[in-house]
Amino acid sequence: MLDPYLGILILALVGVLNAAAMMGVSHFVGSRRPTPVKASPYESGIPPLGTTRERFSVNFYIVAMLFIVLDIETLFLIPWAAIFRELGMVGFVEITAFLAVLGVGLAYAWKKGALEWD
Amino acid sequence: MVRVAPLDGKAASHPSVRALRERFSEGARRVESDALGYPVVWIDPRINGEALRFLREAPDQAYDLLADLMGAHAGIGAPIQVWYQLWSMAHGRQLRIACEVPMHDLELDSVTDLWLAADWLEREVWDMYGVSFRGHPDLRRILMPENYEEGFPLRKDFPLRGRFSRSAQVSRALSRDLIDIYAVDELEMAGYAVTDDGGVRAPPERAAEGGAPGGIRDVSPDEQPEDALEGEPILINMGPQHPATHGVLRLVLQLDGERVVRCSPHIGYLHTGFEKTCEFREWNQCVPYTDRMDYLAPMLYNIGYAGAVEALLDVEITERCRVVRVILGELNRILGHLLWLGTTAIDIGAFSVFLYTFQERERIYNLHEAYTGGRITTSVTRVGGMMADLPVGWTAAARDFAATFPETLDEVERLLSRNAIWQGRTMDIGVLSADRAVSYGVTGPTLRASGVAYDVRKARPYLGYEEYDFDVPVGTAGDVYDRYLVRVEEMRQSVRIIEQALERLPGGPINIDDYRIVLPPKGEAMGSIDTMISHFKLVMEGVRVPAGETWYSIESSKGELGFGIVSDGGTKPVRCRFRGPSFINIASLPELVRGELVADVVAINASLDVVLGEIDR
Amino acid sequence: MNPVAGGAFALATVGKVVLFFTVLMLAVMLATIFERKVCGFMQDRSGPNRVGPWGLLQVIADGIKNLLKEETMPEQAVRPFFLLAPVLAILPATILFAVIPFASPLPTPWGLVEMIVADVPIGFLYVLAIGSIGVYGVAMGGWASGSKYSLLGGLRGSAQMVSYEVALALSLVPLILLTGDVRAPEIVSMQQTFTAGPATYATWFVFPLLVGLFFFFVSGLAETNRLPFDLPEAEAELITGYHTEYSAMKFSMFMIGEFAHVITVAALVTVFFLGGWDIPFWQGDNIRVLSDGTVIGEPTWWKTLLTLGAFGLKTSLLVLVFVWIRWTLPRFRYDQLMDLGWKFMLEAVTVYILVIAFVILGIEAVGIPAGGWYAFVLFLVNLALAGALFFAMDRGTLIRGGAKGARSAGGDAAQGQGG
Repeated sequence: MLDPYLGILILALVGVLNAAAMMGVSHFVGSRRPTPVKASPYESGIPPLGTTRERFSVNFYIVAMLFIVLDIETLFLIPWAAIFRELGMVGFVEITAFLAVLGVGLAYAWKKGALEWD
Repeated sequence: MVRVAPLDGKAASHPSVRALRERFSEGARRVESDALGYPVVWIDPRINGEALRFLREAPDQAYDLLADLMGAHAGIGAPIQVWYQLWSMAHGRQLRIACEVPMHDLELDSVTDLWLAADWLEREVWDMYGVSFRGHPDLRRILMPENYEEGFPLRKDFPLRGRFSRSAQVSRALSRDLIDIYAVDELEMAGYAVTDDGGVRAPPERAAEGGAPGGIRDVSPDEQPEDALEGEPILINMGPQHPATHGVLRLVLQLDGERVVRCSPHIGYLHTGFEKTCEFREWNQCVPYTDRMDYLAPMLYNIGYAGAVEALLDVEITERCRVVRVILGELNRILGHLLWLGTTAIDIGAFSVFLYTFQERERIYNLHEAYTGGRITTSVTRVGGMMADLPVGWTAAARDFAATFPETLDEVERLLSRNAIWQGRTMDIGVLSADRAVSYGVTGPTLRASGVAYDVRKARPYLGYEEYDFDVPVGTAGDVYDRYLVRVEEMRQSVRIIEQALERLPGGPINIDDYRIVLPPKGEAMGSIDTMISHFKLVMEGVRVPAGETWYSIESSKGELGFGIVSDGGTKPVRCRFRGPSFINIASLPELVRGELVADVVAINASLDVVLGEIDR
Repeated sequence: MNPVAGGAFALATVGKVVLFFTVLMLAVMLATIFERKVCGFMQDRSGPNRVGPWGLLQVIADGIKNLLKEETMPEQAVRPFFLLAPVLAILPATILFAVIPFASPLPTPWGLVEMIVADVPIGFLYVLAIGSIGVYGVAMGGWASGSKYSLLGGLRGSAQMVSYEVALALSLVPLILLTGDVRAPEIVSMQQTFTAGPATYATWFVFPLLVGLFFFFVSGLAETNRLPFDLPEAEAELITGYHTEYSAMKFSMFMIGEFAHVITVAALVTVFFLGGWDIPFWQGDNIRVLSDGTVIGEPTWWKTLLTLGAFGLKTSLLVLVFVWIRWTLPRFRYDQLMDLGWKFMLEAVTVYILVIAFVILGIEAVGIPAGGWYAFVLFLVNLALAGALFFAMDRGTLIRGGAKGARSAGGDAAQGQGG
């Protein structure tokens, strides 16, 4: 029996081809009459001042870090969930303890203002 | 020289006039009376700051609303007049302080420390007449481009079409030089240097990068580590071509992340010089200009303008005309509020509400069309009456609208009023306290949402508004949500007024029977030589309005709509000033949005209900 | 009859991919016209009605227009990333569908063909993995455009998608608790009634996992960037956010990606909570292939067609719900959305997982076998939780307005002042 991942591979191939075709066809069929005004980024019709390649607020990085921490929560929860009937009460208590630790961490981050969004 | 109506006993006995005369015996040069009857005190320009401070701060004066601050110029060689139109909420008194500033010494004390509203108004007087104000924090041009160098447009020696050649105007409009587009302090904030010859130099490190995508720059050693964690504030243009600025309003926002550090509005993109143009038009020819200013509720402008000129003429319009004007005015208040409701909803993401309100607006536009033939630019009034009598069946259609329209309002309220997201987006956003609101000169629903029950229809009734039974809704918190509630309730009250007015609509003529003012019917003009002469003179010359001046105001959908009009007895106005409420309301925006998020800027800007036509004029 | 194998399997896979891809693209086209029609209906207007019968060909016309339009790229844009972003937006949306079963197995002369592109052992974890690639399209498009509005949209978008991804993944953990499996065909079988084979629950999971459905649906809405979560492209604030600078086909690709994503989320909700291709109140379609290749039930070609119809109908109804929500609700503000994600959804869904795990352990301890009664007990627990949840979600407690708190004293505005 062939690997079931074959389907995904073929689909991904078709998907990439499709995207490439869309870009390619429109590249060749579409008109192109560039002017300096068209080539300037849109900022409500006014030439922009300054660049966009500035430092972003650190808050966005904090979101990314929190995401990684909590994604690991998912990483542990899913395998546990798949076999939790075999693990029984012991597994439940252990995962509760794990989540509690994580919760304390989140509460700390919250308290520290990591969950303020501006 | 402008002639002003002689002082009558009533004006002389006005408590503020007496107090001013006692306190500034020499300074209060003469006392006259506005065409509407309230006193006008002409003061020495050298004491204007002192006198106005007295009027603002003395407890028995307490003129807390600077309704208008305008200039006027009677002719080449005449001094520039500056009018301060005052209103006291506590005492319910109206007063005008005026001064004549000689051309050789065009300087006055700024009153920005007394009324926040004076900031933009003084800038406008500077822009248009070149009167400079001592102590104004930021005296720049406001409607004209900031580096406009051709003089002061509303002076009488300035030609109607300006001094620039057409080609110079076009090249100026298309200019993409940063100095033509940004204020100097904005350029400096972004690190650009302005050279003496008006050029702009890019910031050094950016010039070194050569515009290449430089990535994130390193933190320099002398920077504090805490600073290094902060994002760089960015300068972003919201408008003029932006979906949420409701016209060509441009806000330059300085953002820290998504929070607004500073907001500076740039207006004037739609400036077409209506006030200047009106000085070259006959009195009735000015009517079409008025409805192009607030094109969202055009008839209110028509009605206000006609009322102001009629005050100067001192004529009493017919009862039928008064009631018709009330009906049309209230219909247009609904028209304006509906547009506000729809666009605010779309700004906050509730798209469907927009189309619901526009359906109702279409019905009002149909009524416009049935009456005037125009839908948006109606030009419905004439001096002394209306452009025509109501067509047959119009009142039935209006009655039908008044009966069915509240259903849509109920539906919109069901969608929004108790919606958690809507409340979350509007409550506690853009809070304007009552004191600040009055000081900013904010009027209309925005002021009433802050808890001040000031409505011109109640404070100084016109068109017989005192005979109608209606309430003035007042908010408590002064936030966006209250402004929403107040406007919705005002629409319901307008429906009440319309129903009462339709009930009492009398028969009889709609125009006055003075053929020096209104056109006689064609049959009569052809039948009698006297009438024909009047007809001829009216068509060839226009109405003659006796010399005088007035500052007349009505309650438009956006706030107090004032008309400062000066006549020298001719067929054209000497000065035709429109005090658009939006112009003054929007001046409070920078304070309201400071410290809020970008999304709130959109909500707050929408909640002020501005129309750029009357801001830029 | 045994499942197909060998060369027939490969051929069947290719056939399924081609067929499925065509159907998905058609579905996206139909979804756009469907959205506009429904929106027109809700807003008391016609919607598109000029091109073709009932405006059905409008999508084709739009497609041609987008092909012929001029493509622009700002000078400041970073070319490789600028070109890659739309690809990354459309690609995950088109391949996400691979693990979703869309009909009952089809018997062919060469064996039984399962109606799923790839029945991989990692099941719907694949969806979570591939779905998270979508964030690259948003972040990259926003950053590479060189426009400040795009940048703000891209930053918002990536923060939002990343935040709700955790909630999305966690909201599926109760499902795994219940089924012990992540393969979508198995999850569909679990919602059907069988007399043979491992025990099933005989009811759609919308009942035993009602609250889970709510969490999944809300996170899904946020992941697809649709109202009320369409902040990255909030046109009133950020023009159109991260794809402001994209025109012509590149813009189209973002839109196709978004619609494909909507359909995918609707299909996932169907599979996880609404019984997948199961036809309710009819036991004839209960067909299942066990891991050892045993087939239970009687697959026929017309059953495949019927179940395909059922699947399509359920998915369409869910798409309708998406559209309905979009044209009804206003939009969140960025901080409200992040608060909802981090300060409410995350905690609530974690607690929900623990409660469900505890209840399941309890039910097993009592000794109720998997089946209708099992699900009923869970349903009761969910009803109680839903009551508590919606009480907590009540207005004023969750979404707060500004920070100034002028309203903290309470009190209603707009009292009429007589005069």
